[in-house]
Amino acid sequence: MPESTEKMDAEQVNDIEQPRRIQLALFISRNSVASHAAVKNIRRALEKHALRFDLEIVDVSSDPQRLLRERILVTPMLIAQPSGRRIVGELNDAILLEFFLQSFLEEPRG
Amino acid sequence: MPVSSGILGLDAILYGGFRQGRTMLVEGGPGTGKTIMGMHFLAAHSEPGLMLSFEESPEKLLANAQTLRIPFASMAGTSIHFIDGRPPTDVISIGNFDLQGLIVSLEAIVKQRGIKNVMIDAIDALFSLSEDRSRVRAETLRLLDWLDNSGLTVLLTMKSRNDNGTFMDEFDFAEFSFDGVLLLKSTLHGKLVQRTARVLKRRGSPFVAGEHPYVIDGQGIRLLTSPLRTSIAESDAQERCSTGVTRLDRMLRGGFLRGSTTLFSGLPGSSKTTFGAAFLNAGCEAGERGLFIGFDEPAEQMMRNVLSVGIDLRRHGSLLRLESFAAGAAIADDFFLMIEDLVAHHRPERIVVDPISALLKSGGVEIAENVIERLVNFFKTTGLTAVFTTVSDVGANVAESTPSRVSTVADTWVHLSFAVQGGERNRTLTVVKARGTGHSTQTREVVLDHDGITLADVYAADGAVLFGTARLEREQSLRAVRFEETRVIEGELRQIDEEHSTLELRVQQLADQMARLGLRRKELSEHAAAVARAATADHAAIQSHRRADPDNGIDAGEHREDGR
Repeated sequence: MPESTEKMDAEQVNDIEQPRRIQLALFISRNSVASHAAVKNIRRALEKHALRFDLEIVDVSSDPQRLLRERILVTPMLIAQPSGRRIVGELNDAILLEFFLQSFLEEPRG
Repeated sequence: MPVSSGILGLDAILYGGFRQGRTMLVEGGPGTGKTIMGMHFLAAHSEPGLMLSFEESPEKLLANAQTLRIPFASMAGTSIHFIDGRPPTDVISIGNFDLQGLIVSLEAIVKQRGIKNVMIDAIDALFSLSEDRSRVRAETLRLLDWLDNSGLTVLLTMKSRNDNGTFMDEFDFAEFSFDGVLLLKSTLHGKLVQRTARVLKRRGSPFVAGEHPYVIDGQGIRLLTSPLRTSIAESDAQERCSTGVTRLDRMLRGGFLRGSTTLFSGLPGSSKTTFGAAFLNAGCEAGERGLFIGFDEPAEQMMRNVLSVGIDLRRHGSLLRLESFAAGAAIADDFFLMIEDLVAHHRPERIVVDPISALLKSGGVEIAENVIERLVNFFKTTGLTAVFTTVSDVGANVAESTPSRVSTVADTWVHLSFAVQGGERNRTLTVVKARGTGHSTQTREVVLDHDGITLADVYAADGAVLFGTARLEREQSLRAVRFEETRVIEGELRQIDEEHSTLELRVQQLADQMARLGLRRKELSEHAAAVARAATADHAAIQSHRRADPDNGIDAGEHREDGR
């Protein structure tokens, strides 16, 4: 399941056999076509990376305080942690999206 | 009920302020004070306000606000709240998006804090979100619609307009019904910048059309509020106040009308400043407060100069305030506000601006005339009795070189000039006009001495008094021509004098040289005589010794050369 809620302890990341999982949060708005497309697109892209990413889907109207804190002006917005890197839009370019995801896997982390 | 913009002059041209629950669009280039306008707006209300900037962080906004005398910074966190709307710089965009996140954030904070007024700064920065401009535009319109339905009073700023004053397509929100569109503009005049605000359009509400100059200083944005249409508060229209010159008081049937404006025009050195000083001096002696605004020279220097003609301004203490400015250092609009501030602070009954023509250096004729007109109206509405001086430039085209409209807006016009007669150059005074006063139209001679200014009758060579009323205008130009002629003659005379003294010097030098030569000649002749005498004596001695024949000596040739 790509939408895993499994959480990792930060200390375990150093283990080479079990690389750290990347936390993704997708901020969406419920009545938006672009948001629905983004959910579909990110789920599809994560199918082959199920072991490396956690995905959380956040409806913007459910937590306005978090929006203000994280400066989410535009939806849908995908934020990767801990890098904080952001990607905006319906994510309808599979190649670009894959490129974005790969960038986390190739980077040595520590 | 209009919602105050927080700027006095802007409220005036918007008939009270923004329309409640509507969005006002402010457009302007960089540095026109759009953000400051928003600070004024939010800080003017005790109801909670929200600052949403797409360009600057809350920290930077607060730091900027602290340099201004607007309570914006101190209200931050209590009644002014922030949304940091800067788009992330490293954001990648893939496909369509919407501004739902922003709208939800806005909804939340508006509800939570009870926000009534909103400032949205630099909405154009949203366009950095995506290269898909039509998408951004559609979303921006959605945001505007939400704002319109929210009941919030919104000030929205945008730097968008091309130089030619047309919208770029993406920024054309013509289909959206703003409360109005306010255009801020800064124009370069020489090296000085003038800023103007203009209401482009307004739906269903009145506004004062045209460009309104404004200034950004420590107090923030200030529009020149003084109305261009005159509204004189004529309390006691017939009260006179002394000009400080007894004879001039008599010529004007008791002095200047209180609350009127008088213009003293004249060439440099025609004692315009002295008349201004005499006017202030007379006021202070009667216990009235005076304000002197000098553009020509430092106030201390002016005080020293008038002291030499017996006007001691130092003794008036705090009754009299003297300020001097460098006219070329700021736009005339700035000086208007400075003078307005000084008047508000010092509350004078009499004011002198010396010379008002210096304002020509503060952005050109058009701006200077506008400001002078505003000053005259400002002084009239506050009941100030004012004296302007202006330098008339003989030789140049008078209409171009002096703010010609000053003479029309002034109630009284006194022209000072010089009359050259019998090798003497005398100052003269003519009252060109005096509105509402049966004044003497005769020219007087101005006499300056240790006792101050006195006026004496002046007669032309044929014994007739100069200048009839009907000929005044023609005389003005005639006088200009005459002075030009005089100047040329004086120049020639000076040249002849110089040549004469040069020649005199040379004659003196030649005489000295001749005298020296004569002296030298005399010395040499005496010396030669002595040598000859000695030679003769020697010759005689040798002759007698050798018993030789007379004139047979071998040395005789030498003696001839030297001695004869």
